[in-house]
Amino acid sequence: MREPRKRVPVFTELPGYGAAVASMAVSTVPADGAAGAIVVLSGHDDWWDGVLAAQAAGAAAVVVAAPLVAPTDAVQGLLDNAAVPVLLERPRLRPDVVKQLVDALADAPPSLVTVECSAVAPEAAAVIHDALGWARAIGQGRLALQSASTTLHGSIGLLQASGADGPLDITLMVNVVNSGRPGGFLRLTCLGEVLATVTVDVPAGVASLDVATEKGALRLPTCLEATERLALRRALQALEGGHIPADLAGLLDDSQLSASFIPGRVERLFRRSASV
Amino acid sequence: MPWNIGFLGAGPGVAALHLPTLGYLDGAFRVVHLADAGSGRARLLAESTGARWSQGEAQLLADPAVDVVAICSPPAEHPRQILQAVAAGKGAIFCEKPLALTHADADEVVAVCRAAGTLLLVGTNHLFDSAWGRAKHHLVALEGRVQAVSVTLCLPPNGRYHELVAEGGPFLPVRRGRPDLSDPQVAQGVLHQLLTGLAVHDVPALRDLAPVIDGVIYARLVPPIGYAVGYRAGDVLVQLAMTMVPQGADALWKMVVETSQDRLEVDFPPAFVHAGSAATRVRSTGGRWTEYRREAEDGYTAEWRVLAELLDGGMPVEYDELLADAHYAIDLADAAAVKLGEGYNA
Repeated sequence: MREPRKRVPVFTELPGYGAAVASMAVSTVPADGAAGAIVVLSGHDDWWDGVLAAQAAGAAAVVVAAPLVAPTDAVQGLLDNAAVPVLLERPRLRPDVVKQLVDALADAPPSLVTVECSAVAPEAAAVIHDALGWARAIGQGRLALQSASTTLHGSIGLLQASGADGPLDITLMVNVVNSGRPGGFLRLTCLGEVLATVTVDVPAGVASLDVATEKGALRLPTCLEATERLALRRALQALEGGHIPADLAGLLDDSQLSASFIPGRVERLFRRSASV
Repeated sequence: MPWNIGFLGAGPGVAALHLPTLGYLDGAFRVVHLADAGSGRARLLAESTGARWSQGEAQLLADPAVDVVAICSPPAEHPRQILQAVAAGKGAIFCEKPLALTHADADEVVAVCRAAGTLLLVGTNHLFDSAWGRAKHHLVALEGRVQAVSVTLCLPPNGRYHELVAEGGPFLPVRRGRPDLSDPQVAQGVLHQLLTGLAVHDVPALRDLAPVIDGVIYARLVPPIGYAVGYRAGDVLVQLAMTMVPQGADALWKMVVETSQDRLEVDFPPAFVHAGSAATRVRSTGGRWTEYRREAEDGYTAEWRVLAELLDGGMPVEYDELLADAHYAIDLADAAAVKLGEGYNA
């Protein structure tokens, strides 16, 4: 008889992660405390302090659910001090859809990429981070800011990636809406012989990739796994493989670039909350 | 009685666009004369339409049978040919976009047409697409503040669409060798040409949404042929992106208007074909998508129908609007070219 697989404890108070644990009954088990567990933290408030606290309490890995803000010094501090795998659940930057896109463009890199996103002000920074995360993924490397401009309600700019296929221009357009259900909207369009369009519309429950060539159009299979479950699975993989994922490094890059794209009213919001 | 048209120019825009389009207009127009600059294509087209043909402009402009002069020549020729048509006493001009490439030319041709009472219409077909009217109505009715606009194009070769609407092709444009884009002036010229030739289709809409260009934030040429231009117009940000690909999917021509409360997407059909109006969708901030019904008539047919109404006296010529559109396109192309040049100097 085969030895039953050792289940990894998961310590979380977030309902979505409770559901994820229930759907991974072979590999995970709910935990009562942080020691030896994958600790799941909400991405609200000062989540970076929570990561270090979880590590100090003996967490084996930490998952941060939907980080809302990401101050560069705080993320850099984590990169310097986190010794356990830290996974970020970024709902608009699903690794499975990213992989689908990268695979779809493997033989026909785009000649220009546009990224557009919109969100209410409190979520705008996180949505901009994810938009830049898409740009980073498609650019296959570090992005260099060429030019950007912000207004009270939005921003646009040009980035350049220097990937393996040569320089690639990527535009970004941000819009802050007055109200709406949480989650934001993101659209990435890769222009080239393969025309690829990613739409992530969290309120509408959409995360789709459409690919069109001269032969026709194809909508890739919808990635239906809950983002919480996906994050948890990645944490398990990191523990099994003994590697530190690049999530924090990616977020740091995105956060550093995002400074040029934060619209005026979002900036004001941050200033107000910092002064409270 | 149909209005008699004489075409100055016999390239793909005439052979695969305007001549077939006129067939949708229930005999409102009749082609009586075609002229080319020496290519011989006017003769071929004339044979199939029963029209006269000539070389150069003089015979067509002197032809008393021509009521309407349709100017479909290279853009640099447009102002001069408009002035000649007015001088020849022609009562109406259909001018393919752009109207002019310099402010002085734009001022002059509009002033001359206005003074002579010559009807003038510029073929920015997206302006005439009913979907744009519907989108504007939506923007006005819901009072959302426009905050950002993007126009994104990914265009396969036109030949794919030519053969769906015309025979006798391929209708290839004049080949001019590959420009040396390492030369800043050449690059600036190419960008100027792309903006005044392609982006100009949406200039009436852009001017409505983002009336005064305050500054170009970035301007790039994109290989193999394309551009990325971002600019600011007051509190409205505008992003223009275009690539032409040697092979590729169906044409993408999408305008997005982001407001304070929703996102409006207008997908225009490919050039040349008659596939109905653009498709308009609106996303509310709650994630609800609403798709408006498409109309059977496309912008090409609609623009000729508007010209027929102008000729029938049913509506006035909007000279001021035409002039403002021309100035906007030139301002944008000039400013983007300067920005592009700064990149080369850096």
